[in-house]
Amino acid sequence: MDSIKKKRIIELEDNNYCDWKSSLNNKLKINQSNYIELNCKSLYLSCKDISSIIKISKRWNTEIITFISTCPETIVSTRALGYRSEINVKTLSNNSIEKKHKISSNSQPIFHNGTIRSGELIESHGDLLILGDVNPGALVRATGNVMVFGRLLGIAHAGSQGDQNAKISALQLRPVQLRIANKVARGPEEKPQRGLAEQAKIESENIVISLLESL
Amino acid sequence: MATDTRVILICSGKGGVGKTTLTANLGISLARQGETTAVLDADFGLRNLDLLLGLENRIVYTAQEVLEEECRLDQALVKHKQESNLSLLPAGNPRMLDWIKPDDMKRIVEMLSDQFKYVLIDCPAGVEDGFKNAMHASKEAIVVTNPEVSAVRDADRVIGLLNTNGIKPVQLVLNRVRPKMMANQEMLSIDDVKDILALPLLGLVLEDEQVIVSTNRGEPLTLNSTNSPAAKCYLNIARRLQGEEIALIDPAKEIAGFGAKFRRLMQTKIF
Amino acid sequence: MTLRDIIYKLLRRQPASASTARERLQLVLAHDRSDLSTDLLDQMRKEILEVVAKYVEIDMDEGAVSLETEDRMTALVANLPIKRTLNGQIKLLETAKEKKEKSENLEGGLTNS
Repeated sequence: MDSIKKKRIIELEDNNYCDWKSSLNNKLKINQSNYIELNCKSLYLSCKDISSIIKISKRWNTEIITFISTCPETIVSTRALGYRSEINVKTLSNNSIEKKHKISSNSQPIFHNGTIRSGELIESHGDLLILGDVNPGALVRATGNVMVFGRLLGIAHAGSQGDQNAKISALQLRPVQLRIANKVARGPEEKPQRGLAEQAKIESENIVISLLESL
Repeated sequence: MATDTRVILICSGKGGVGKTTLTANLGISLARQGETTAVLDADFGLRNLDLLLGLENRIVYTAQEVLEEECRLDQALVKHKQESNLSLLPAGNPRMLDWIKPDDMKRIVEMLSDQFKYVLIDCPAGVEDGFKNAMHASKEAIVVTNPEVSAVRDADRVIGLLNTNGIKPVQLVLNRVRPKMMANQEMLSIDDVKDILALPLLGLVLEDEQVIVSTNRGEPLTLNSTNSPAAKCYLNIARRLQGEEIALIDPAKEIAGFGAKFRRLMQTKIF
Repeated sequence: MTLRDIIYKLLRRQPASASTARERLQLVLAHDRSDLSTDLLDQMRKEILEVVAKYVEIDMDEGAVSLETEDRMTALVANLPIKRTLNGQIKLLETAKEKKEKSENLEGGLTNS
């Protein structure tokens, strides 16, 4: 077994102008210890990123025992893969809060897995992504976009706080009613073609349904 | 507030006996007779009146938003496509059940009374809070029942509650009547039900497959096909409600000819 | 029993269900409406008999107290066969009754004049 059982802390660069992967690689190359505590600072790391870090560490025969981060999403990713992690609140900089806010308003949707049945209601401040059907009598509402990976048969309300650019998309768009911002439209009378996803958005003051190119 | 507004609760106790169908058809019939009519869906848990009237895709606001003062009453009212005299006030979210109080219901009905001659309240099944709220807001009631023991028993319970709460008059509608089965003594007769419940019979509705067809389409029977047996029954009920005197005929006794004579012979008591 | 029931019995067919339904309903409704259990009814019967027995001699075994339901009104019906009056007390009751009748007559007379 290895004699050097000392724990070392390695920090990742969290500015956007630096490639953290290559810097981590270099740092591990000159490293003496086999056990590493990795401070990810405010980097937003997905599960994919975490597993590539693990891969790099294995290449240099080291083991990362703990991840430290100020970004909750990174903590979630590491925990999801079964690694120990700690959230570092003290070093939470203004910069990262700003970043986090941007993330939640832009790219972090509320995610629901399962069918939404009559009488049920799901609301989101931001986008709403549903993996399942929205049955007649159910209501889904988001301040951003509504995306349904399934059949949308109930009522959907996108841009509920007045965002005219919000969109509603579904694999099968057969709602009872669609609402975008303050516009209301009844669902289409004729059945849509099978297997073609559709989206609804506001075009010249009306809600228009068209084929979906990309989510 | 218009003092001559008739606020009628349509209730049954048991579910599935035809409250909502009766509410929809009475609403249409009264509207066709020129009366301004509002139908109020008080079944917040399991609302269906909008579906039967074919108005489910026109609902933007509900009673909930009216009570929370997020919109005006006329914004929430959904006018029927063909019968402009008829308006629906949809039920809110099922979660509304947690906070709605009898006085909230009363407030809504009072608002409706300003504009309408008839306010029909489609009551939820059961005798719990939903029913009590709806009853609190009503002046008179129609109890719907089927010629079946469970439905009659539940109706009896509801009638007891209506009586103790001073709802008057309470009238009876017997739904899903099958004259042949009654003539064969395989179903509680109209007289049986009337005697047991001791209520004046406002009308009876014959079992009719067209009822299912009409709910599929979202067009109440009385809207188009006035020739179907059930549609005629609904129209008669509406006219009686308006004070017209239309004779009530027991269809089981109407079954004439040799068969009936034979049946009567069979029913003679020997000991 | 009707002619039909006999024929059905002979043919081993089930009897018509409407009358069964009616009887079951009447029973269950009388119970529902009164909210009295048979135990309570029995206790009440005993106590009523005891009270009545203070004034008249009654046939304890024949006496029946039952609930009858008609037109949404539930009535308590007591059927108590009296064997013999207990003299002294009965007289007392009668005098009380007479007094009452007299006073009623007086009132009637006043309103007439």
